[in-house]
Amino acid sequence: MTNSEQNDPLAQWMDGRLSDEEVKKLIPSTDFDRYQAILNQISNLEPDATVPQIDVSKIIASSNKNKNAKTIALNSTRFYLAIAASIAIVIGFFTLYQTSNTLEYSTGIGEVSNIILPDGKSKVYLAANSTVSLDESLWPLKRHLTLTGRAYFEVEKGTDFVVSMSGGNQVRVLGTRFEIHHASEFMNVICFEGKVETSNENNKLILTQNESITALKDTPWEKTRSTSVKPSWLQGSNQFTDAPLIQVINALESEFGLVIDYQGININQRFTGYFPIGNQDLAFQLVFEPFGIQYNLTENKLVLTSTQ
Amino acid sequence: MKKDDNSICIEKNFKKVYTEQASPLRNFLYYKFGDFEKANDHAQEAFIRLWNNCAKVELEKARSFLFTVAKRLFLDDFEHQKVVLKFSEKQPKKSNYESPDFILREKEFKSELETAISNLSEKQRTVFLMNRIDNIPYKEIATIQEISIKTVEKHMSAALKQLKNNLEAIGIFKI
Repeated sequence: MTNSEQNDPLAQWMDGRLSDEEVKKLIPSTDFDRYQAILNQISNLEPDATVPQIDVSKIIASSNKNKNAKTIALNSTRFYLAIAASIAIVIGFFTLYQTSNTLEYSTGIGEVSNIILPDGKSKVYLAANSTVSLDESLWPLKRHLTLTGRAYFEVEKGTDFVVSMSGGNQVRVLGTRFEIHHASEFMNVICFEGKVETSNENNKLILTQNESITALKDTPWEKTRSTSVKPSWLQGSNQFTDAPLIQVINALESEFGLVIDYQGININQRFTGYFPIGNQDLAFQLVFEPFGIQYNLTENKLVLTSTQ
Repeated sequence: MKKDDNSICIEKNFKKVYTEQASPLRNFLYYKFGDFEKANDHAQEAFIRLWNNCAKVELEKARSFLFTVAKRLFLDDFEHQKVVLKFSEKQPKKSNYESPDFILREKEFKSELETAISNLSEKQRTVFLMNRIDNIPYKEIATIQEISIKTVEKHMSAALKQLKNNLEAIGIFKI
């Protein structure tokens, strides 16, 4: 008995060195049943995760450059030749690098496009008049992109996914679907699924499903609820809920290729409603009339004045 | 001149190591630290380092290289927080095992078991789950964890006993 105690029957049993029958002789049968139940349950578990498998060819591709530098024993002539050659290669690489690894995608006025990112699964839908750029060679290690304008993201889980904007604003993603609409005067982030962390120098907020923030320049950030399941501009309209007028104006500019002069109005008023794509006059009516704002279009310039 | 077919620099070999070790490695980090996304990132980083050092690491040492590197990466990054593990079931439960002695309410059992696992000490939990979920033999766990096989056995039985005790304490086994 002491012997079996020392040999740890439970550990041996789990390892298959003791049979059920043998271990049953050594421990109470209720205990045996309970152990059995626990082990049965555990053997049917696996870590809870939908994270995709790591892609091995990406790893190989991402660091293949290092691979080219093999260590070989060299005699002195070969040594100097090799040094000269390496310098040439290094310079070559640098020039090649600077030009070929930054990918940039842009949309024109009124255009929407979708882009599959280098991990093969994550997607970006770019709204009108927007740009994203990224460094393809770094992508397997750090998914980092820069956004100007408005875009909707569907991100596969994996390494960190970070979107930077001007003004130090940043959205860091923890695997999810979300939309960003950004211009220098405001930023609107909506999280449709999962979790994103939005930050700049002074603020940091984590958004979960159906939460959004609308941040105007120099005002504190606050969370609001959002009920939509996908951005409306993907379905051919522009829907806004309690959006600052400046955000709507920015969307109008990108949609119709206008420059809008908003000096004469209060751009912090909130707009709830929509404007259709492809009908400029109706869009102006729907947006500006409720606020009693007059608009006057000459060429591509729309001047807004308040009547109140 | 050392030019062997076992070099990890050969893509086929690297892929094989990857296929065999990626999920146990990730799981190991998860058991230890309880953050799946970070576990995934650090596992990936460990493979990148293995590839970059493929000329220096022998095939047989690949696993211990991966586990050691990943563990260090994680420790550097780790903010001490309470580990809460969640699991999903591989397949719908076949209830071919029923004892008259207790009735298990399946769902409750699974979730209480998750809690009990999370409450094990980090060493016990890691060793226990590596063996039970990833089927890694005691001997290999001992190598990875840098402990003796005896210690592995001790952790194994202590973990099992503690899980039972914890589940008993909250009355999960009804008599």
